[in-house]
Amino acid sequence: MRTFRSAFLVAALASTLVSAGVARAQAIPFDLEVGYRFLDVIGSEESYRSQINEREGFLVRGVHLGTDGKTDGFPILDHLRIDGSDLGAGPAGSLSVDAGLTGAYRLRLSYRHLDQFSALAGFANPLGALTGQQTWDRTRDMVDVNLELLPGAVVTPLFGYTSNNLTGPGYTTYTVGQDEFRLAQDLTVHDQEFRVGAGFHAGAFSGEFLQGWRRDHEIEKDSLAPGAGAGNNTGTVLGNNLDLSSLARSSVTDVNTPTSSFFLRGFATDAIQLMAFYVRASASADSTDQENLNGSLVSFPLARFFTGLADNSSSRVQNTMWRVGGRVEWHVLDGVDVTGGFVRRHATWDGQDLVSSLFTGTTGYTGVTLADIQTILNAQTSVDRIEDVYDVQVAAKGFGPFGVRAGYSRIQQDLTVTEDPSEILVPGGQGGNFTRNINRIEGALTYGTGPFFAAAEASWDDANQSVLRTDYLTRNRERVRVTWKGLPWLTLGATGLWVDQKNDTLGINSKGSSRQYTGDVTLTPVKPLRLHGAYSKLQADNTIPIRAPQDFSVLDSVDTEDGQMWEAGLGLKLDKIAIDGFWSRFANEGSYAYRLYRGGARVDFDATAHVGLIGEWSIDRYLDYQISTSSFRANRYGVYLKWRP
Amino acid sequence: MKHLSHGAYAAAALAVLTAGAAVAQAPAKPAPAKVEAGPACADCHDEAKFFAGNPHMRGYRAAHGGAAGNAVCATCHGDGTKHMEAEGDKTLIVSLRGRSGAAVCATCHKQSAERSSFKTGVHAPSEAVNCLSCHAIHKSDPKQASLLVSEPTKLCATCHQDAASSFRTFPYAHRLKEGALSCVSCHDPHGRSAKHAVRETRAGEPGCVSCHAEVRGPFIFTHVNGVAGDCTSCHVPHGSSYPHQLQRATIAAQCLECHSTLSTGTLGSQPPSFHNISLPRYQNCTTCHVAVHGSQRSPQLLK
Repeated sequence: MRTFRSAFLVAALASTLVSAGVARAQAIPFDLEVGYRFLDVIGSEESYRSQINEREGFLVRGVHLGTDGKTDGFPILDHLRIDGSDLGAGPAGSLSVDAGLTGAYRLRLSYRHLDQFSALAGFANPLGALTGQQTWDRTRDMVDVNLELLPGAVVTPLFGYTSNNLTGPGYTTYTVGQDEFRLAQDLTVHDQEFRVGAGFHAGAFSGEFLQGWRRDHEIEKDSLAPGAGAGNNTGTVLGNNLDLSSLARSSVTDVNTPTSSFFLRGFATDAIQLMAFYVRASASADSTDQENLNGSLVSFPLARFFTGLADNSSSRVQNTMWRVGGRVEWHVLDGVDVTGGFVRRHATWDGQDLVSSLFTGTTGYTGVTLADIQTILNAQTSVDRIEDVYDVQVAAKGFGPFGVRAGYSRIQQDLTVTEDPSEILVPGGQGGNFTRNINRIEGALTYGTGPFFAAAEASWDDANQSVLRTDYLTRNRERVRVTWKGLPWLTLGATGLWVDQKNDTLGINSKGSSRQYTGDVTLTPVKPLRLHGAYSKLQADNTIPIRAPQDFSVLDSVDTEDGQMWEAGLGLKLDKIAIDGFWSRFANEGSYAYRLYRGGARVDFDATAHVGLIGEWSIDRYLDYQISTSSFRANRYGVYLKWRP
Repeated sequence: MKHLSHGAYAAAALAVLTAGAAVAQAPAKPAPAKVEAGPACADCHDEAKFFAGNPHMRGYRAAHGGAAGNAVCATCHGDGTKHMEAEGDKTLIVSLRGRSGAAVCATCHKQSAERSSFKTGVHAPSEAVNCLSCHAIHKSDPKQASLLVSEPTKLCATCHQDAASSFRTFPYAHRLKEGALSCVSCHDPHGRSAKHAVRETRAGEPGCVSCHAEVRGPFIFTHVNGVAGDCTSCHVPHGSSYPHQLQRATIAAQCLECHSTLSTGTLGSQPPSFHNISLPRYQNCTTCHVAVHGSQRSPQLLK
């Protein structure tokens, strides 16, 4: 299927090129790379596909077309730009089109295709470091189209359409009857939105109104995976095996979300720009779920064994979000600007779920046959959240080589979560009213003179309390970047990043820090040759006490990163040949030890002014010291024909 | 088959538009040129020769029609007469370099949006960082949209080496290398500083759900997203050592850091005591709590 799709794309593009070539193709700036990629994986292919997933097959490595200024004779088009990359074997292809006629319309279209794969050993696997029980092999296709009519006119009609389609098989797990079972899953998610609106430009004021209708349709179908009937638990309950002979589940969810947005901008004076906006989105989700299973299972809450379960649920949830705000930008004097603004965000969730579960073939623990039993769950949830953000910033850029930016913002959060009895497993933590205020001071400084450039930025956050345990009370982040281009053939750079955060609230006592240092050098000893090297060191250390559920003991959850990275790159461009190469090595001795080597080379040979040949090779080698079976080495070789008519 | 149809649509659109452009070449009538006497900018500056294919020329052409010689250059660089008379004295022409040059760009590109500003954004023009740091306004590599100096990911790495290396360093990261997305897919380079200029959906949700629509919700039994945290409460978008770009090496650690009732006044319940995290089963919370992003039917996020 993939090969067919790839071949089709190549054929379609070839026909495109023929049509383009018929009419003075040489006048169109056009660039195409098309060919075949080979793949060789040694080790865990699942791990390779989960991380990289470059596949073997036909590939449009790149296609670019730009006709700006060369379409004077064509009345409906005065510019067209097409950019595409990695269409075909994937895993990530994209195509974008930007076309228009000045003053008449502008059309922008983008398409992206993603192959998404995950099958990770040890992830969500109750049996230890074996093949993961939750996997997927899906494709996502995304289309976004925006059409603007009469750009620059007083009124500019706007139309848009977005589609996001995720589909494909996978495996998941399901817990029922004191065991968990692997299920084959087929998921289809189609999310699309239509938009219509208008922009307007009237003197010093301009703005935009846009109304969108989003519709999300999701279908999930699950069935018992082949050979999964015994479940993960090997033990028995009072001598009874727990197993499933069949399971079928079907879930359908529809979400409708009308979204309205209004934006107004105007210049009160030449120096003062005002902005106001209002956005409201109201999402209604309706979901139905049907599940039927047969087997031998046990329910401790019901104190019974049972041989079948018919489960139905219907739910509805309403999520309303709106935000309103405004901002002033004041050009105080040459090089000095001040902005101030306020935004209020409000979001509510109100949900109701009715679940009816019929347990059939029930027997007591003593073996007595009992009547079927039905349980009804009527759950109601609600969340109300308000967030106010005030901010003011000053940007001063008129001090010779210096540029300065400083700002202050305050975020006030007010959250109310209504707990529902159905959610409560252990009292505490499921609901309540929570407030959190965060004060942030931030600044940035740039300095550039001659060959020297330096930039520093910092933010210091101070919060009064946390809503989640992992929320910080103080968080400081500083970053510095320095570059020096003192010689025509030499550029040196260094970056430092420091992040510290902590929460010393009694019972939380979390602290975390991260340090990242990078040094890089670029050499161009002769014009066609460019060499690049970099070294990075990463250290992170996070600690927070947690409570072990089984005995309520207090442990420290510690997570560390301790890595070093070396990188090297080469670029050589001669008359007819260009060579690029790179190599990197990252060794992490932190909480999860591994090494990662990446390398590759690309040779681009121009046989003629219009035709060339490209050879590519890349290698990724992953050495996993926790789960050695996850390690892999993957070589990819690509041969592409380049055409530039 | 659906993939094929999507590919077909894309290829068909490409074919139609490309053919359209090609057809456009055939009847190409010469544009009404305004020939000016005296020296031309193009006599010395190659940029002027290629400017006819520049998007900046589009507006000028619509307003004034055809080629306009030096007048086009004067739009941004001012009257170049004295500059020419002085045999190219650079002090007699308006340069777009530095802060003052950026001010010239801002003559047209002055309008701010809700979350972005050319004046006070994170890359607001200064002597050191200005429009020309990222945009080649005269001619650009034909492979780059928006007149960028190079492709966005490489361009951002010029200064943000640390962030760029994260995508190469970590085994689990977004696929920048493969071109699935670039830095500007998530960050607005003209955005204001709040939250690192991260894009949001129009409705105000985290920009992540623009692609990951399946976790967008709304869910009746919602989890972290939008309530008290967001996607980055658990995931590291720039890359992680751990599967699914999680923040912690084990799922249990990821979950229990919130779900431990050692303090009061925080949101996050304590798991019941049968969750014995010394056993592999309970170290992998999502084995059972599969709907960790939110569920329409299970209060405990079990399905």
